Amino acid sequence: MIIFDAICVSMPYVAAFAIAYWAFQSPKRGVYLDSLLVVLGLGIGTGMGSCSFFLWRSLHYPTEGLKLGEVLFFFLCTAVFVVLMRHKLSQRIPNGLPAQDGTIVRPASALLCLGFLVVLISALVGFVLLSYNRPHGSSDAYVIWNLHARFLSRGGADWKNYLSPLLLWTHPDYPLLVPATIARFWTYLGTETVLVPGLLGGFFTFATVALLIFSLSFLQLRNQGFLAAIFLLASSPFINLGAYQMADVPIGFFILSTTIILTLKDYGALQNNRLTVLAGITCALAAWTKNEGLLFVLAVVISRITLYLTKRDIRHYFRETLFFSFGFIPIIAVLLFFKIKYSPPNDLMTAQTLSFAVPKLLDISRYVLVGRWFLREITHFGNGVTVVFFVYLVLAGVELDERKIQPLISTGVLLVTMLCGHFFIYIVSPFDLNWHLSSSSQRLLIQLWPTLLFLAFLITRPLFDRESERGARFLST
Amino acid sequence: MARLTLRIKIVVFCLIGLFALYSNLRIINKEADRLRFHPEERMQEETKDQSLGKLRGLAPLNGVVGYVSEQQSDMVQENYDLFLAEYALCPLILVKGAKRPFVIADCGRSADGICFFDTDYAVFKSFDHGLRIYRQKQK
Repeated sequence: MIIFDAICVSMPYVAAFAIAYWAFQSPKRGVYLDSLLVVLGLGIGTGMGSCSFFLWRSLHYPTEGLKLGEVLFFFLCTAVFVVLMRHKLSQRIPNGLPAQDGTIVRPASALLCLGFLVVLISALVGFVLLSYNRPHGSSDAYVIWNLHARFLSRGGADWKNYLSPLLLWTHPDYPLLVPATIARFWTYLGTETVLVPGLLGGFFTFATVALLIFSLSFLQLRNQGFLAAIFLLASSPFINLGAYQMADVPIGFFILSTTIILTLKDYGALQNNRLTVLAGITCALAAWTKNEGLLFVLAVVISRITLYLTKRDIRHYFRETLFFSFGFIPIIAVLLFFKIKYSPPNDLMTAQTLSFAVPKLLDISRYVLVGRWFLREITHFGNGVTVVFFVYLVLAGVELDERKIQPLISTGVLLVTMLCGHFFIYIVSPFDLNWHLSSSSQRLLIQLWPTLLFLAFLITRPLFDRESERGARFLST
Repeated sequence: MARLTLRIKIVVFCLIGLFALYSNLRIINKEADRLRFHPEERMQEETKDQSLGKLRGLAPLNGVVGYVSEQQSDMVQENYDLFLAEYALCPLILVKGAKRPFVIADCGRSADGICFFDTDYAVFKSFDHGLRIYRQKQK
């Protein structure tokens, strides 16, 4: 029985690995892409499992139904992608494949590796202590995410109780990736152990670090990956929010995943269309994690249109959108089902009418206040890690080549759109602006911080020369 | 960065590494202190969760139930108590106040363990730590 349960619980992950493997299929993948595939597979598997759990819960089937349903559905999904993998679909050999990983350890590279390990261990100890001291997470975790998980796991037919207008303080309109994942594991385990949300927080925190390392090691240099990871681990709010079991770190994971996959595509690293399908999945999972994910979807659309407009190749944008939607639609359909059938309207949006928003949009003092907050958050973020980061960027300088222009435009526009979107959401906020800013602005930065680090370390000159490392990376052609 | 010597680059890296280490050691130090000097804070939510958890699944509690805590003068603390109670007792829906057929009174901190006085209600069931369920009297 335990073996059957283990098979059931791991089926979404098997399907996710099959999809990621299909998307990353290449004759010469190398250790970094393989590792990236594993991390992405785990993240996507988590998201897919949460979707299936939510659908099962909304259909009121018994637990046995969940197990059988998941096994059958994800087995079918895996089988489809395994069959697809066998077809040699217009496999384009990329013009910049990673070299074989014949790493020669040089002193500078070894120092970076050692430094990273020390910082990683200290971050892990900090994370464990934070989690141990707050077994139920921070107040937001047990008022929102873990509370929703309990409704989903214990509620039976009453799981919808939390959507009642009497419980609006628990934000019942928030998407369900985190709660449904926790509830899914609780249901399989048959107990509501606090280990599940704690481990989920730990997974997304350190998986984000792993994504940075493996993607930059593949696209740039391993040293750049380690350095970016050190900056991320030095950001105390990132470690804190992960241990507090908030959904900002998971959404940051999916935002970074989408950016990395689209960058791999823009680099021409692998079979383009398959990566676009995968990007569609991770993008939709960002929207399934938090409402900010919907802004991220808009930002992706704007950034890709901008990219293709600068390339004067809008025809290819529509082609990309088609493949993107193959991955995007199934997950976003689950979100729409939740939003249309169950979710009450979002408190930020219900107040928005023209007569309400226009005076706020014309109020200069609000712009000044929000601008000051943003500046303050950016400079004070994580004990000043952003200041150290900007000093480093100035020292390092930019190293742009033709390949990096596209990711720079795409990711740059994406980040600016996200920041502008958040800025204007604050401007028209129906809440007390000081309270709204103080309670959320840092968390919004956390969502974008890993992606900003990825972009920065992709385009900056490496700290140590290429000669210090001969790892897997793109060869200049 | 290419113009900097290897020695300077190593210094730059060491500074970044030390900053990162300092940042994490601050978290470790703060959390170790919390664990050493305020161990009760760790158990605050857990204790509440366990004590209120006894009421879960108890007939005839279902649907919407009133909730009263002894922190009625302090709205922040009262909300905190309500949130924890909801977390412990879901899928019940708890609402502040006593306008429901059943009311849970959470009076653990009161000296006499009583913080709910309403002549329309009678004690239905009592538990440890000042926890009581009241039922509205039939008129």
